[in-house]
Amino acid sequence: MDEDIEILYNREWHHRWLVLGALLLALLAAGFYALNAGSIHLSVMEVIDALIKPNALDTQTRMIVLDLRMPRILLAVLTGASLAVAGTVMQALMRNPLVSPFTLGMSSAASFGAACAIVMSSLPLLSLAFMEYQDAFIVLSAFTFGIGSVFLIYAISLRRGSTSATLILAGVVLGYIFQAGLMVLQYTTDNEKLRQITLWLMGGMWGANWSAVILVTPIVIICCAYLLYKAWDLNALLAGDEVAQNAGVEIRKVRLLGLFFCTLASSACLAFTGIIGFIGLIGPHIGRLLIGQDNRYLIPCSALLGALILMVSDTIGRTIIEPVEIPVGVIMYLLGGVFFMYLILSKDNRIFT
Amino acid sequence: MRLEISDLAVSYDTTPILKSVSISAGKGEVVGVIGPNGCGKSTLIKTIAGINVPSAGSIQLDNLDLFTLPKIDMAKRVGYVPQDFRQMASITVLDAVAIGRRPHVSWALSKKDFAIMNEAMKSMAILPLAGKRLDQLSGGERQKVFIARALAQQPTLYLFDEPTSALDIRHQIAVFRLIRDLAHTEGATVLVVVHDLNFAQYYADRIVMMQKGAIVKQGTPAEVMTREAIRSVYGVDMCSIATGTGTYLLPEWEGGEAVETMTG
Repeated sequence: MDEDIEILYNREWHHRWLVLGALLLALLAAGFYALNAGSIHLSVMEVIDALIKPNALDTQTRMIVLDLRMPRILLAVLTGASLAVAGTVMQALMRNPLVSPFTLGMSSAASFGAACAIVMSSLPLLSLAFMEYQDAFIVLSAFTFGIGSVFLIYAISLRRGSTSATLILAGVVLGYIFQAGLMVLQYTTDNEKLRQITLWLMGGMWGANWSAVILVTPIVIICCAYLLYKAWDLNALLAGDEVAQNAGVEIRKVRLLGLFFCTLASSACLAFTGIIGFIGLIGPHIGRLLIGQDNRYLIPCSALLGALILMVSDTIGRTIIEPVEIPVGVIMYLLGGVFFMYLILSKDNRIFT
Repeated sequence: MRLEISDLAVSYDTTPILKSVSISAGKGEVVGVIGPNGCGKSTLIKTIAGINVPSAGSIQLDNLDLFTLPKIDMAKRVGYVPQDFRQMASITVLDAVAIGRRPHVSWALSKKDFAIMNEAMKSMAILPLAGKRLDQLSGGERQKVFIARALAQQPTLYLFDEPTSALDIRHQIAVFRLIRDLAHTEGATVLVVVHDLNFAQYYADRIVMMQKGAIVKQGTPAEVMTREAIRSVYGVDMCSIATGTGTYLLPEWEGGEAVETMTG
């Protein structure tokens, strides 16, 4: 029984790297399949050619693989990873397994921000200025409102304490308020804008292009790297605020900055893809089942899982009843609902106890 | 190693919780903090641990001001075992103990870290639990995990807030022996909040007796824990019984005195 803990730890360590390696392989394989799959069928060789010697192919194939499918896959990977990482970190920061960018009202706030940007771009003065930069304006607006919501929740928690009940309640309430604002915008705007907003809310990868990928990539990498760098602090927080403080964690600073980077990453992605729920819950929860609670491993594991799940869902969405596309947001709701039903019903779940 | 607390005061809103508390403790000393419920013992411990912010006074450790010391440097010097550890997620025992190494490592745990963790877990007899999650443990086992976590931090000042509240008598003795060894053998300074006056008088080198946020008496157990002092602080009459193995403090059942002085 009294085996050396280093042996135990190393066994876990090997297991963790095995899981991470397997997930990475699965992600690469799924990515390759996703490049292949779609309403225009390509051979495996054509995809490989497009990747290694793009100039040898005809323009159409090259365009499909490199300009349509590739950025879409990359955006799905970035979005899935950042939402899952944000969920993991927020759950650790709040010590609550049900917190995610979605439940804390951030998604509603970002929706409101995006809708504001969409509606405002038709105002006479702004339309001139923002015609060319509408995408950037939406990103900026969605992000500003997203981060605003998190700070509002934090401000509430400072006054009313930071029990999970308070935080979730605050998040839900803020969500409703932004929802109301969103409805007003939807009701008053014209049909064209309404359609734009509705599409945004459904959440899909159709907005993907290289400029989106290029804009989002550095943000996601910086945020995830920062959050991973704080993995020990997050681990310490899991044992309680007092223990974390004794282990040298400046909890207030870590909470604020952590929330900030979570929101930065997730709202940057959401601004392009629209609302995609549940990834921030499914990713971390499957991650915990696979790899445990140590955030040094859980964060990369969740990132890979989130990327994998979202990319596969998107590929299913655009191929299952082709040529019609089902928005990936819709698939996520379905998948998330089923997954959580399973968690609630499963006997030995330890997440909701 | 020297801990100097001078004129420490803590207020919650405008209500004073601690009033002008001064304690000094040296290397190798076990200081027992006793006093009735709500007298500010936990507040004192938490303030030294840097969790509460004082409204006045200073705490110095080896002439370093604990409030301006960077948190990470403080964590290397001060280890704290909270009284209440309900605030935890379902992490494994190993992950919980590893938190103690956080101030000392930047990313990966080395062989030395494992040796230290192993030692800490062995002294709390929780090695067989290493792979279990905290929510699968009993209250007493959990308390031992949190003590092991503080041990793994290898501080020079230990702060224990009722470290044996969930433990049976055998483990209470084991923990207090460990506390005494930390001080007497390894030269640490230990502040421990104790409810059991017998443990306090037997294991502490010095006693700090508190009432209503202030220190009423401090000194050796024999000096502090007199019948009069215990009556005035707890409102209970205790008698001292000497046997061949030591002196024991016991409450005088139904002496009439106890119940009356509680209200008075």
